[in-house]
Amino acid sequence: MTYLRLGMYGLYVILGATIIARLLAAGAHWRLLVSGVVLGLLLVLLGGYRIALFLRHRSGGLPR
Amino acid sequence: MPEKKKPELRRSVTPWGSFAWGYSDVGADIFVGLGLVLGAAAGASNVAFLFAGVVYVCIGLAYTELAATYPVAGGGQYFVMRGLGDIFGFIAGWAVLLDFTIDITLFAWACVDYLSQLLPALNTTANPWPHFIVALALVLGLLSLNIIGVRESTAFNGVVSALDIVSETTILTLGFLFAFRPEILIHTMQTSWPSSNDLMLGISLAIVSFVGLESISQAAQETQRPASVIPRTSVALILTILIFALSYSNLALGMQPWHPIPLDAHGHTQALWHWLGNGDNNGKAVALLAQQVPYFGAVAAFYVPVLGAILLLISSNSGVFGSSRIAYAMSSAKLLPSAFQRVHPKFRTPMVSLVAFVGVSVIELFFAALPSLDPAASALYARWFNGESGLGFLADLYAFGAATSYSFVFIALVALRLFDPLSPRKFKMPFNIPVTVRGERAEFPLVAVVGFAGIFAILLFTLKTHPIGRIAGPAWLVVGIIIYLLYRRNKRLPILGSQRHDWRTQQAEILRNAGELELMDEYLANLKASDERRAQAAAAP
Repeated sequence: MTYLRLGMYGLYVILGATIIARLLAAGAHWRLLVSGVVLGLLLVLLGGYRIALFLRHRSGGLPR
Repeated sequence: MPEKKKPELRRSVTPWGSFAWGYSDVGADIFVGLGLVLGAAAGASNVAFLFAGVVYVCIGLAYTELAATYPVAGGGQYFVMRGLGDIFGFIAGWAVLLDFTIDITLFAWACVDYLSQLLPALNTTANPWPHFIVALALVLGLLSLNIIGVRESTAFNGVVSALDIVSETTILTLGFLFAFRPEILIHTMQTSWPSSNDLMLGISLAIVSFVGLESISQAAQETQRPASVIPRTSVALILTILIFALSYSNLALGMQPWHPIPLDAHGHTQALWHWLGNGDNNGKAVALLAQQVPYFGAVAAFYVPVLGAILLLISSNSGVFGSSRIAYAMSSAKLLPSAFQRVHPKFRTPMVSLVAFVGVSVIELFFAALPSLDPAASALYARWFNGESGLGFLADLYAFGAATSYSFVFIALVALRLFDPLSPRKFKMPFNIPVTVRGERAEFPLVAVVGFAGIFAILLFTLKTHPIGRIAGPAWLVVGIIIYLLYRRNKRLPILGSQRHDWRTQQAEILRNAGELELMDEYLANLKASDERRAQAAAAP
């Protein structure tokens, strides 16, 4: 279960980074910045934060 | 003779159960909200979801703080009553009750819409009577389930919530990796940007996709160690729901469909988002979007309608659960007649509240279905209410109830921060300004001000753009206030003022009953220190 959750957080990071990269590659239009890029950043930050938590509490696994 | 113990709701909801109650309620909202928002806000749907999402985060943080500090079943109604007094507590609670009764009907209705994807005989446009009868049967079935008890449904909620999170993550990941085209998103946002009125309508409908956090605080009285559990489950819930809503809206606007989209009524080609937002499809937009995901869509076409229908049914169940618990709490606080706190002798569930508010939801279902069942009623709706559909009628009222109750909750949060600074807060909203009120140090919550401005704007958008919501919503409040005034006069209780409450004793009792003994000790120590400071100040020359 712990690794399933960790896998999902990793997926969030990859997905967020992909969205940001593809949107920026298509042009830095303000409408994209307030919608898609916010989503991408949110995904990267959430996934990164949870993975960092996991690494910090590795001995006890993810906080329940 | 020993004193007879008053029956209480049992504490049977675990941390995951608490998350699942919230997720199954709020998580299902996007299944209904996506199509409605796409239909109204068109190329700005993602912006509408972002605006509503920011407000939702503020609401979520406010509820998390309040539910962890005051873990009682009343939720918003209790917080407002404690912060602003009895009558405002009643108004907030009554607005929440409207939402919960709509919740029951709206999600039972949408559940049948999703089922109709696999069973065309249930299609609301082609076969309105079977659609209505199945939705009614679902509502009545849930009533029976809730009279039997809560534990049976929390375990089921947990399994379905887990399945849904995995499923939605898969759909969105594959959709963004293989079908998302940023140039389509730019094109849609540039060419299909809505009028200001439609954008306001879209934003007010987008808040529908985030309603239901109340269910976590509703479950607080039935959760073990709520002050510790609620912040954890709420924050996880807020982020999960926000990500899903933003993802779906961006994907719907910028997705290259895998299969051809049917022509519109005039024989013209139409964009995916337009097809998802039209009257025939807006009740099952997530299932139709999932079908369009490359490769995986073939599998998703079969299971997403079923999973969506189950999740929506659970959400409808959360409405039954929530309305009965809040009515129970309001009755305990002498805001509603005592009949509403009558507990079933065998199952210990609030039976009278369950029957009464499911009854209200059945009436709402009837009004929502009327235009499709009777052509004469359809003409009436077309003349007076811009021809709103059943789903639109329910969403109108849902947005009104949510915006009203949440507006009061933000004001109550500020009042409680300032006038009850001694209650231990295991979780606090970020960004606070230290202030001193009546000799006590308190913190003024800036996020609550931002949240209030946002939700009040949404309330104004709702009143401006929803033809049924602006009539039926205030009418519901007026009826409730009349009931309240008559009840209070009959019981010789203060009509516009508040009863005397011993909040100190009550707070200590709440924490003890919740099993939060450390917090109770901290609270009692805070009270003692405060009393000593006051005594010293009074004795000083």
